[in-house]
Amino acid sequence: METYEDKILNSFSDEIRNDELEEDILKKLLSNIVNKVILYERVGDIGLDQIAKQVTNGLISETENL
Amino acid sequence: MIIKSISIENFKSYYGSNNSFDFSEGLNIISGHEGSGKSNLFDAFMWVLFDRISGMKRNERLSEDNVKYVNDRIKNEYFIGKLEGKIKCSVKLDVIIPHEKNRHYQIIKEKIVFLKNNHSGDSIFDRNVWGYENSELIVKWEDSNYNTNEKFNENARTELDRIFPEKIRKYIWFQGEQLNELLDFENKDTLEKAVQYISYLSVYRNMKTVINETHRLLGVKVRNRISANNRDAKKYDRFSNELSESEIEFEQNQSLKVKKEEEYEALEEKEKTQNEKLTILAGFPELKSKEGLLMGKVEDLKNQVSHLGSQEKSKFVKKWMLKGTDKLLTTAAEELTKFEKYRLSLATENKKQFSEGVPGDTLIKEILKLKKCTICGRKVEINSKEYKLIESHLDKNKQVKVLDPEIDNLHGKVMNLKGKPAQLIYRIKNIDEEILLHNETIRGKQIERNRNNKELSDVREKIKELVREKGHDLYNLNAENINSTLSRIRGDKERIKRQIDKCNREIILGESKISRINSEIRGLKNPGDEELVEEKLLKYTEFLKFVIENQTQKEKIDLVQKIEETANEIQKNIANINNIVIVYVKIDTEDYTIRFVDAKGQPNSGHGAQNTLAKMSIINAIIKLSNVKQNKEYPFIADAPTSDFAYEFTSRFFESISNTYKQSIIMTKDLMTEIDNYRNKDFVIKVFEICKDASEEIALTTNSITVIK
Repeated sequence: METYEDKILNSFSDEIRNDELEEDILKKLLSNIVNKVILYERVGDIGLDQIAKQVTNGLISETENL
Repeated sequence: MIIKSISIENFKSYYGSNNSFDFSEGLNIISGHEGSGKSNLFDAFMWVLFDRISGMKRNERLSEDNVKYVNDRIKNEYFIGKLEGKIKCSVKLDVIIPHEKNRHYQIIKEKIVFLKNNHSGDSIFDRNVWGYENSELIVKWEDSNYNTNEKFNENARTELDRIFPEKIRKYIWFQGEQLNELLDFENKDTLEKAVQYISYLSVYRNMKTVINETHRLLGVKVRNRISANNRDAKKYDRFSNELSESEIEFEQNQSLKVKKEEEYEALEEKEKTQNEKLTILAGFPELKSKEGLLMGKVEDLKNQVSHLGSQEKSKFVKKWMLKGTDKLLTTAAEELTKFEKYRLSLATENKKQFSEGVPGDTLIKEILKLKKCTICGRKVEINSKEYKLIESHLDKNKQVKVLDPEIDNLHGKVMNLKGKPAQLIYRIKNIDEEILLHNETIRGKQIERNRNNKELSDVREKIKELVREKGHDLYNLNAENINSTLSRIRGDKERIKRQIDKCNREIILGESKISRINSEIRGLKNPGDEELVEEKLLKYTEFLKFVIENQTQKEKIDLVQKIEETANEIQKNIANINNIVIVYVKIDTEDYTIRFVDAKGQPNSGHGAQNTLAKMSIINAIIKLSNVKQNKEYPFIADAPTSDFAYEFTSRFFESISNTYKQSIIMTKDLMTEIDNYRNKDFVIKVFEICKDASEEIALTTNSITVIK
């Protein structure tokens, strides 16, 4: 069954096509942001600026390891 | 959310605690005659979930001293002394939340009432007969460790809002007869709020903040990395500082814009409230002027009554005092009459003496002066016997002469006095009639005053009703003040709008400035340097910024269009086999205004069943889309949704509802002979029949519940 997160991610399916960017990185980045924002809406224990820091650091380390 | 059951105790027509409905997923139908308790079941849902019962205005809540909804039969049993203690009135919902791993919740609403000691009321319907404890809302559930959790009142409301958000809760209601009281279709906010809730717009808003911040952080990292490797450090530092300042300025402008937009929205809200107040004032001048007129009349009559009252005091008190002396006055009058009689007799006697014993005074005086008789000429000797006789008669005459003026004087006085007691007695004699007449006048004025007072209180009650409905204090509304507030608000709005425009210009300039500096910084890179990871990632966040902006715009328009399409689709599904002409729903994607049009697109709000079907389809579309988008299922609860529909419509409607919702609970008019048909339909999962127990006495009515399928 399609989860709420899947539904939100899928809502971007028509928009995120870009020939110059790698689809994997783009999808991972989007998915990471969607999951963290939904968690923020449900729990709200950390602020959006902290989420942005986590996303940035996670993104850099993942991309470096590719 | 799936409603497993509802248990009702002493609420409205449901007497005692043995009133439960166990529902299933799918379509549940509750059938019954008019007055059998269907709407009371709907009210039980309304009470536990909204603290309201049907017939109340939007946003109105039940006041605590209103105990009308407590079952009359149980109240009667306490009133006649058959039972003692406190009455519990409660509604309990058992629900399952599928998106919380089928967690089981109980939502309970309770009210305690009791008979007041020494009450003066003579019927159970007298409000002052009943004391009460404030109603309580309780939410109970068991957590994964099998611990029972309980929340009360405000905390319970928060919990209820979490498991069953009010934003969607209010759309699950549908009461055919009171549809417009449940949802305001003419207010564009109704749909705008629904769209805000069922869309992903709030998620997108938060995503946009995260993406912007990630983009900024990546930019800082890129600059720091370039700075560390750069040969032209001074130039780089200058650009870097310039960039930091521009970014700060850019952020400040964005925050200022958000703040100003919020201020603008708040002002729009205030403007709306003031306009609403003006509408209320403009809509009800008649009541206000009538109130003023009646107040004047009542005041005038009050003054008249008070004037007549004080007149009564000054005018009648003296007479009342005299009234006590009427016997004395009668005696005085009698004495005076006696005295007059005596005086008259005395005078008569003297006259008699004079006329019988002596000649006239003048003649005697002449004889005495001449000392001889003027008739016979004979001499009168002094000290003679005759002279002394005449002299003695003359003395009597002297006495009479002296007595006469005194008697005359006294006579005058007596005559004067004689009339007084009679006059006074006459005045006293009429006092009763006068007072009666006076009192009659006062009573007439009092009746007129009371009638006007009653009319005034009716007008005030109507005004109060409006105050309750509209939520404004009409008495304190003043068009002049409102207009001056409105003009101030409009001035502020214009000022803030200019500030927002300025922010927008600054933001555009800032964006282009940041982009220019970034390209300058990139130009400073050492030849042969590879693209940095952060630099590469900046392209992704840059792209996502653009994506989220587009998606936000698209989501709003798509959703409004989907509501419109789904609503019209639902209508067609119900109506197509019956060749019913429907009115189509048209929603403005910009301002959420709902219009109803005919097949040619011409405005046509329809009537009766057409209009009800169109509105119901909007509600169904909202719930359907909410269930799909939020991945949460909520039931549809409706009372008399088919009351406007022709009979053949009903089955089609039920089928459409069963296809739209995971669970629906429909209270409908008596299915009569069709009950077997419905029982055999696959889309009908459960059928209940409720009956009112036969009794003419309202205080003894109760319901019985039968499960038919």
